[in-house]
Amino acid sequence: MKSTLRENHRYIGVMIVADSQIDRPLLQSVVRTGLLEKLGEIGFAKADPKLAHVGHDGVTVIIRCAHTEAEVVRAGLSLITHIGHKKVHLMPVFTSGTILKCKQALMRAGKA
Amino acid sequence: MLTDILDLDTSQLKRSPRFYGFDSFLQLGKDITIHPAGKSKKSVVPGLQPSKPSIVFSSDTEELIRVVKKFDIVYSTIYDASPALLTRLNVAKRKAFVNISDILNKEGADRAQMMHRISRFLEFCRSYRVEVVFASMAKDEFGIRSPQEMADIFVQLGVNREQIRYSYSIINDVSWAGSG
Repeated sequence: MKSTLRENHRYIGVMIVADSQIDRPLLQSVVRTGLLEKLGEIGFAKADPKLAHVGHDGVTVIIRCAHTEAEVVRAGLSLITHIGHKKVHLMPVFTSGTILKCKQALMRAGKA
Repeated sequence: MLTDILDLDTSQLKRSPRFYGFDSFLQLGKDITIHPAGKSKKSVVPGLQPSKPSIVFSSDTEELIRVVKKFDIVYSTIYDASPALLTRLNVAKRKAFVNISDILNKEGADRAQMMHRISRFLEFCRSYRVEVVFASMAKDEFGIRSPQEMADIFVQLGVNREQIRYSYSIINDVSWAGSG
């Protein structure tokens, strides 16, 4: 494949502010249904967001999306206020081109 | 210095302002006062310290135009982009107000409509050279949004990041002017 046809991704490190821990299937549904609602079907198709990593602590996640739509995905995440009946704040803290850098940034943010 | 105004007891917060990307929080009622436009400033909170920055709010633009000079910040709850109001704000060197919880507390089409109103209001403010104060007015910690998050949202609506950061910083100028 030509290098110019390669898909570029961005990895968005997200910190979850919630009263209790949120499990992986629920987070998966937030990324699918929550972001679909915020971005619309066309926006969602362009962004192609996926849950790439869930931290062991359960309060940090990494979402992978198309590099051109990272800003839109961050905006969509900020507009999510509820997961089910739980009040929640999904705070994007870092955006990177590699998942490793994103994990390191989330670790630093978690310690701070 | 980035500051947010919260509608909760800031001492009860589990995390520091730094966690949310702010330098400090102001508490509504303690550090800053808010009044409905229908009543005079003195009659709302007796014994109020005049040095505290004050916000006046109303959905009635005519009422707001009448009381612009008495308050530091003017909050039109319907975000009416009225040239008369914005001209008065510009002449009196007062600031307009955008409440982020007006967006977060709504869902679906109502939220989209409110975001449109606010983006249009901001466009008019820029045109009439009126400064805008942004605040989350959060009632709990889940309602606080960092300046970066708000920039992500408002960049989609035609406001740039520097303008958002500036809007979060000018409340300090009002505080200093009020205490001086």
